[in-house]
Amino acid sequence: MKEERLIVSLHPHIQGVETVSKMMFITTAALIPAAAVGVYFFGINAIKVIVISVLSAVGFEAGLQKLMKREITINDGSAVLTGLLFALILPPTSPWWMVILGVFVGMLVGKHVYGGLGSNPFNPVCVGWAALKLSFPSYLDISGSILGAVKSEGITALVEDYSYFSEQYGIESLEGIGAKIKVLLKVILAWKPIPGATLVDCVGQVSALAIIIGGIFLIWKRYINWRIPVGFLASIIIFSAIFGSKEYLYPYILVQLLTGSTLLAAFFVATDPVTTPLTGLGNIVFGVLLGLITMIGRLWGSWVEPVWFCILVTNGFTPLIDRLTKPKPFGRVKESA
Amino acid sequence: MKTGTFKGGLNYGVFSVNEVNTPIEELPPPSQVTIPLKQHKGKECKAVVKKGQEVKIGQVIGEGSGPEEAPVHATVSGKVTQVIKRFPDIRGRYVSAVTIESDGKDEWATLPEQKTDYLQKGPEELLSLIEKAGVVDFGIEAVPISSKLSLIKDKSVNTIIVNGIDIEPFLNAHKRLIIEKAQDIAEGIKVLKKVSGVSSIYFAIEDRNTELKDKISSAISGVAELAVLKAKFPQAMDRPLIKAVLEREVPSPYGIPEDIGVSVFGVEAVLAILDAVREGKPVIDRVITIAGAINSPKNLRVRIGTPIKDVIEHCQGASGEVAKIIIGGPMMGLAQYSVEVPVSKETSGIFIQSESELATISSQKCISCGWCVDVCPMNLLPNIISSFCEVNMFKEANDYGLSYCIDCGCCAYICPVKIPLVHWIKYGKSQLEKEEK
Repeated sequence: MKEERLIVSLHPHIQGVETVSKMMFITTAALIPAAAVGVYFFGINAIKVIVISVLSAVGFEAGLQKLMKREITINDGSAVLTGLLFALILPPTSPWWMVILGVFVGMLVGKHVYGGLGSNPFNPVCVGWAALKLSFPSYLDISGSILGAVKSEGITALVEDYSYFSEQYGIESLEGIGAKIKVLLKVILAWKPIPGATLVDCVGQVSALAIIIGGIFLIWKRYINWRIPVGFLASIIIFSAIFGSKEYLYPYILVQLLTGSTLLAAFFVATDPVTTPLTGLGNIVFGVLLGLITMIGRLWGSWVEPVWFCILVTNGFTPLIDRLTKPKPFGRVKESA
Repeated sequence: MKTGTFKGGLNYGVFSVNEVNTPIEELPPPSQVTIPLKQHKGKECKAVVKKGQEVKIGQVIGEGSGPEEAPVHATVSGKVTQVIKRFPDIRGRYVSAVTIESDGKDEWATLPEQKTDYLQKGPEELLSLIEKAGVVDFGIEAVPISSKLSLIKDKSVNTIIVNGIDIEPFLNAHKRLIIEKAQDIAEGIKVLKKVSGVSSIYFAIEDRNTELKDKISSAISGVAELAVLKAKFPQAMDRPLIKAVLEREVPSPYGIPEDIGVSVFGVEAVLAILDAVREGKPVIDRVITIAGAINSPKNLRVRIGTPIKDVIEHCQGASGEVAKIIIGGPMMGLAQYSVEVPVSKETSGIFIQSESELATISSQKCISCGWCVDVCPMNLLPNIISSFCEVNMFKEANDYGLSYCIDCGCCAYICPVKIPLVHWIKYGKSQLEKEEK
């Protein structure tokens, strides 16, 4: 034992096995079911969007970090995750240059101008999406999706005029608990197109089940905080029940709740640790607020799916929520407060 | 019975704990001991022996003057070879120390003798026996038991918790003592009851060991009430422990358990109290766990003053290249720069770490995952406090509760970015102290 080699440093002398890159890669892995369903339905187009998005995200991360003379951290997996998530919220018909442009704006304006991972106040994925939505609205148009049909023509038209549930799922009546469970089980598997049309949706948003599997896995592994999805989804249910169509309320809530973008936002995008509050209570508040803003946007806004923009707005509330939900330290007495 | 717990902390599942569950072994008396004269909270003791003097085991070699000082005794018989003025202690601070070279005879000044009438003695007499034996609460603070007992009188404490939980994962001395000496612990609690006048006594253990639970619950029935707590770190610290057992919060950041009428005693202190009053035996040794990268991990009864290198040698040396030697456990222990540091009343274990097991530090930014918030037993926002300290904003850090931090290290353990949170927070505390002066 050579004494001069002993290292002296502060405790703790051991540390946990979790790392940022493990967190990022496991989250990425949890998105694979959703991406696979997208590839199944949209084929080569979906693959193209995913590959372009992931590669350009990694490329821009490295390039911007080099430009800004920072340590290059593409190994931490956060760029891969951003790229994959971004692909999943774009329609498979997106042109290649638009995907690259969106990733670039997201990476630059959403992440690296603030100093990179950990410093960005807004979710880079949503920043990229918002830039594209404002610049090229027609390429991001999903008004042909179920959510779009409900927005423009109402749930009554979808159920009665298009006979959506009876034609696509073979469910004639939505009355009774048995039929309700049946329709839930069928739509959760995958959304089918409006009768007589082709399927319109974004790459990763066709199957609710695929997203839920990934989300539950992450909650079980504790890589995401359960409070945001639970708060957000509960608030979607409550606010769509309050403000939504009173006729055919049940299918209306199903459309609002199980649309792929809602679930993808709930489990993967809104749970981004950097842009969300720190405390448990803060995360519930964040989820509920996001649900409220999303429902306001869907009911009275002009976009079919404003959830990505709503995440940006709610991200803006994060510092305020953090301030209001500052925990009371253990054993605080009045005098020292 | 409800399993008590506290908010935050780390479940034992996260540690890859290799429990050192071997029976307590006696380490043969070393050939030379270096006994620090400060092994307690207060000022250091005055040496009452001179160089060259012959001493016997149990003979007082350092005498304290204040209430927070405990006398120090010789732990081997032999000759005083040196009275050192500046000897590095486990915190790296210089204290006086007495070096004794053993004559190998291991003779006592007065041979401890088991008496049976100790419970008939009055509280005053018992207290003076405990005081003379130099019993401290065997934690890193090492508060003399006599001072704790007088606080019980001053603050009219009505509840005592006997802590049977080891301070850290990897350390198992408390557990072994409960398994091997359950009856003595019950006797010790009787003495504690008598000397403190407190009748409401809880015995805290964790729910992860049924052998231990069975042993102690039969031994202490009628003497103390068993409180079974969910196994978590840092349960053995006063604040989480009292919260878990009694659902009460010690006023923070500057309060002490006695403020809310509670006093906490470790199992080892209870046994030392019994030794003091039953046999008149002073504290000359303590039980420590030697764990980590070592060839044969052990629970050892070690004489105070034994250099840790002797202890490590007895455990057949370290396995592999040694990078760190830690006094205490890996979560809160103090890394040592010398293997000459002796085992003292403050040493609860020795943890050896090899190069590959060292904790890493990253310069990446916080990703606000909030894991540190979830595990903080003091309900703070460790990441915010740490980042304020990082940019020298100590006042702001204190607004977020810097001074509440109990240094348990859960935040830095769990951090996925590997930010050295404890480092920043301790730096902030020391700077805040300077600013306030």
